[in-house]
Amino acid sequence: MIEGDQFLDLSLIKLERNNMTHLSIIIPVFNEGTVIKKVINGLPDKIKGVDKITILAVNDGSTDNSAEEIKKTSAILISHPLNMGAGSATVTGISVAKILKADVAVTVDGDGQHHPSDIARVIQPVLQQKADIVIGTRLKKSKGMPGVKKFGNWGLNVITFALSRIWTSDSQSGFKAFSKNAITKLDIGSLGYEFCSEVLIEAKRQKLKITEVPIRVIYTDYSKRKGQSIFNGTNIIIKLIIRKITRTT
Amino acid sequence: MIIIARVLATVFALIVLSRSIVDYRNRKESFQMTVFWIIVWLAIAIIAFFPSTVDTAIRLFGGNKTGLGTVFGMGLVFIMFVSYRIYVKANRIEKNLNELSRNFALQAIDRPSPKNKPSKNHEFKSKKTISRQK
Repeated sequence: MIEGDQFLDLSLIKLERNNMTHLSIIIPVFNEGTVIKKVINGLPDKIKGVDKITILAVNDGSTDNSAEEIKKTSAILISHPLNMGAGSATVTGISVAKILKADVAVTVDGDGQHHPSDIARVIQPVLQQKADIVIGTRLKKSKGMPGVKKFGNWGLNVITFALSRIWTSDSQSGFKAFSKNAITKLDIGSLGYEFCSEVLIEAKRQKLKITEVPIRVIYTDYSKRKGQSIFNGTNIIIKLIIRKITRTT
Repeated sequence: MIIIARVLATVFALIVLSRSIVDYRNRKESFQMTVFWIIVWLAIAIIAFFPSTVDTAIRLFGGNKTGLGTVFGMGLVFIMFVSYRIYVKANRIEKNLNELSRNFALQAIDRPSPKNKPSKNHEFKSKKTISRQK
């Protein structure tokens, strides 16, 4: 009788473990030594519908004290020996999330421009199995965003639409959530910021469901300085077109 | 216009030749490659200063007078071909470097120190549990 109860208890625990939802928060980091500790410590440790949270800080060949600062936090430090680009760092983070068998992965910028409390809202459509990729859009609450950036983002939205046939209000957002299905299927080759657009091109190719969730952005002098320049936009367009042409599979 | 072309050709030829000779001396470039660049840039400088040599050379090989336009057209095609080859090679190297960098990162994952009090739900994995997928 006792043994039977024990067996029942154990099987229940096992069942519970199987149903646990594991979230990986991926932060690509390049020379963010002054803010990264604060960003990581500000991340939520409890989210409704999530049982486990793993923070993956991908240090992309930083030349400052970013790695040392990350080591002072509860994040797992993954270090690129060389600076390969934001896209490459994000893909490395996604690879680790895949190894850890994460159910949901969310990418957050390392400069502190994203509001940690928005993570819960961004991952919600994935948890509810309504989407495979969720884009946290800055342009539905774009107050404070410089006009040049708004125009640049709109231009890149148009280019991304031309290449992917998917319209989003903020194709270049670094705040994205991925389902387990997306983590497994996405095959991204971009190394730089063109990663954001390639995610959508790949999502279309893999027939993944995409949705948008408005997010708030914290614009500080630091985050404005760290953002993409208008010249980088041209670079993104060239790289995307070349990637589209040279893609073999 | 021809003066600008001559000045540009001279400046670029001097830059490339000096760079090539320095690289050869520092054993960064092979002898064959250095000779190749010297011949190419000397030819460019000669054509810039004496455009009629193009017609003379064409006639020497049994062709008709075609002018500089054809030579520039052929040059443009050659440059496009070289650019394409450089792009392909650079892309391949970048891809390999990225893969190498990622594999290195995945093999040397740093788990957080137990001293850093983790949040209740933050999951830690030991180095052993995070191994590269085969």
